Amino acid sequence: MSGPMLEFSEFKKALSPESVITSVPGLYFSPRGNRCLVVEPETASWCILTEETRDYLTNQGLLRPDLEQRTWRHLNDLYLTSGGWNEERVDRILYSLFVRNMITLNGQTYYQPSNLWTVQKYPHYFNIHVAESCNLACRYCRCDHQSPDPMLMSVETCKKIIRRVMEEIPGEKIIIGFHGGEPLLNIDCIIEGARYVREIAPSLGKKVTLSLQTNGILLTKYSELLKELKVETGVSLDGPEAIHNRQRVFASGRGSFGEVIEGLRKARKIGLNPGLLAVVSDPENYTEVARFMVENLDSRSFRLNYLCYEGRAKKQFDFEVDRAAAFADNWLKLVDLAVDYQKKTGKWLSIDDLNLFIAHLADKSRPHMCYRSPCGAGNSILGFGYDGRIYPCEELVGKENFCLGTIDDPRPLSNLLMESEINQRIQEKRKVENINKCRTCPWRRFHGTGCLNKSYEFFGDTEFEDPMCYFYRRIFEELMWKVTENPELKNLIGHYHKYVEEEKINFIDNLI
Amino acid sequence: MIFKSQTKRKRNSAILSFPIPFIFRVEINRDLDKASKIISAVLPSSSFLVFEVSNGLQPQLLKWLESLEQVPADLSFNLMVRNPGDLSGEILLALRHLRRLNEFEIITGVLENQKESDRIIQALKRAEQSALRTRAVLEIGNEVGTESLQNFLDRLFSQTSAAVSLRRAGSEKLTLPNKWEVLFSGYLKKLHPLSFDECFPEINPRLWLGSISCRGGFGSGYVTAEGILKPCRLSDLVLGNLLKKDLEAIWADFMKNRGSSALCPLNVFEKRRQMINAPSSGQPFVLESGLKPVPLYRIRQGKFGATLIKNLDGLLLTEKGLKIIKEIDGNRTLKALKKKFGDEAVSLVFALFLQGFVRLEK
Repeated sequence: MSGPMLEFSEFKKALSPESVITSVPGLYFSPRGNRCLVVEPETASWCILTEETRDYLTNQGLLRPDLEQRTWRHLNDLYLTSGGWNEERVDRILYSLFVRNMITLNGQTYYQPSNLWTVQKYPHYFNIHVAESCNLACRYCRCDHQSPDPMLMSVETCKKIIRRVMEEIPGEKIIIGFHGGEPLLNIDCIIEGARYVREIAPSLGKKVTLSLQTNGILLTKYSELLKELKVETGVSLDGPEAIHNRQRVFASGRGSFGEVIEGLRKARKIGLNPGLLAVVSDPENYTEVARFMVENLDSRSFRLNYLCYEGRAKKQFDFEVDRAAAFADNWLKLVDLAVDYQKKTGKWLSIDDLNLFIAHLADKSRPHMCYRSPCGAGNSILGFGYDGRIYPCEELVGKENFCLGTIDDPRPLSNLLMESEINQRIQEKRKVENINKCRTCPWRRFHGTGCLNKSYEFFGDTEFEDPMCYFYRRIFEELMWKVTENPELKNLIGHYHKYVEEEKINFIDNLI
Repeated sequence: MIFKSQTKRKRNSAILSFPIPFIFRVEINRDLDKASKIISAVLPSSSFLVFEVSNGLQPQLLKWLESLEQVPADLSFNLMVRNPGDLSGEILLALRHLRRLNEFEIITGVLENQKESDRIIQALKRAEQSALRTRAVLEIGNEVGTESLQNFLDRLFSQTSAAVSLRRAGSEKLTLPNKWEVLFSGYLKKLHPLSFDECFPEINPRLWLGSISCRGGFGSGYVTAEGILKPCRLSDLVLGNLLKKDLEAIWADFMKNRGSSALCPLNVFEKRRQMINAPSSGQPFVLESGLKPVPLYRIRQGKFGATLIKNLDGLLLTEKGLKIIKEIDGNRTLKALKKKFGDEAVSLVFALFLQGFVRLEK
């Protein structure tokens, strides 16, 4: 859904002088200069009021920052005390607020929040850790590189997982991701797994996308094979050599930049064209890393993740409690970088998750499972450990208190999910309405509850907010101001145009 | 089919007329054992507390707050601190780990000294950047010039995202209520997050009545660090001592002996009720019978009945009200509720709607 479907003319038909307009409590207001950003948290609706509109609405008592109660006015009274505004203008303002659930008409709202935020019925993404071991020893990784056990999945287990998810999961479209550790350490599993998928998919009526995330070291060796197997490949590369080599190292401490670039060159040469993912550990590096992707690697689409409190990172890095602010400030500079790039080349970058967050401002769909309430763990994704154990999410693989069972369990996967206490707890408790800090957060429907695993790692429990939630609060608010000032930023939506079409987005409508 | 609200004001029999306090402000000093006893005394009736801490964020206090995580009741609290000092990363981390902490509030006067005001603003900013919901509780009195007050408010609003609540520094009558009324109205008109923590009798109640959490003693109470229960912070009326007598007994005594508006000279409780329940123009408010009330509250059933809790707001119900409330689940229509409980159900939904405790969906 891209913008209001209710036409102004239809809204007008529903009005009569006796109509009652009530205010909606719980709106978030953020004044800036003579304008004011207004957010309706429950439906993730927002607008920016001009001074004139703001004054009109506050004079009429329809907006007040401090009231938990509703105020109400008859439409006729609003017309009679409109201070020079004609009825058409009053109606238009009321329409703009109504389609954002910022007022009610005779007690009714435009969106029905209970039906707006649905949870996926069954997972569609299956992330298989074919190798838990790794040939790198990155300083922030959760993978235990020192284990003497190679921790490789057997081909038999891999096939069993593939067969079971393809037979038991109802949806037509399925993604199977090979992950780790370093998945290319277990190439047999990938070859056999991929071939098995292709073999059984047609008879089961499935359309399967195969993906793989690699550190790139073995790409020189396996690029051709991955291309042949049609595996969509992502490479982890943290930016220019100096930055990359600080974190992404071999066990000896030597940086891996040379090997990764070599692997990338080879992959590109044969047409594999892997996606790029960088982990940003120092917020000051956001722009430099992005520039490197664009200028040195000629990439217009890449992902930048901030460093998380997990695995070895806990000991290797300082996680100041207010670190999210610096990350947000520097992340926002990516918008300027993208605008500069567009001015120079006429082309728009697609930076994950900048593209996604622009989509969130334009639409109510939440295509990325990590930004829902509850998040996608157990309802959109399942993770499989190298030993066949099943977890609600890839990030939880190996954490025993989240284990749902094993692939050898004869019970259907749906039963494993339904009967699992931990999964029930996740689905029920990890909702914005049940987490104290999320319950009253204005950004709760833009961001959802955030990452379950990150909450668990940081707080030791899943019933907390995302530890980086200030990052999201800040960037959503700033992006709202930015897209209103420069509506062309809608073009940053990148590959999320699948969910919301750019041409239907008109951010200028949000200035009321 | 439409339902009309009552045009003549009539008590809603589903809502308790003179509720026992269920929102408490509790003074906390160094004696945390006493504080624990007070909390135990109020918990059967309360689900949210506001702690007013006078001596900064000491490690013992943080530990004590952490221990509240174990309280089985569905409890959340605001933490109001005077002199928070420099908020170290360690303190902020400890605060972040308090799942039940709803809001972190710093009590401050109007600071004209640049260094002092910078410190408060920095503390609020750091807390905010540590993902705490923040508020400055600004104490104002006659010694504060309007210009200084405006300068400080401007700084708070421009440099932080903290909400600001106003309360009196002392009990003396305000000498410049008109000027302040204009000033506060200006901020509210610009939609700054300004509200009133307590009543300001000299100022037009329309400005503060809706935002204060005080209910003039009916539904709210203030407890000193010594356990003394009062209707509010500014009141001299002692209802009893929670360290010596339980809340129910204190309340029973009060109800037996109370005068008409004995708890609050301003009769805030009644004024709030009028503001919420009485449609100003007397014309009917139209609700379609097919609408479904969706609860925005949690129900806490306690010794004294059932409390509906929404953020820091609450409502105490009669047994009849509880029966109706149990049927409000987002699926039942007004028509169905009326069929089962009669007009009172519609009237209750209407009151809950106006108070922001339900929304109505098609």
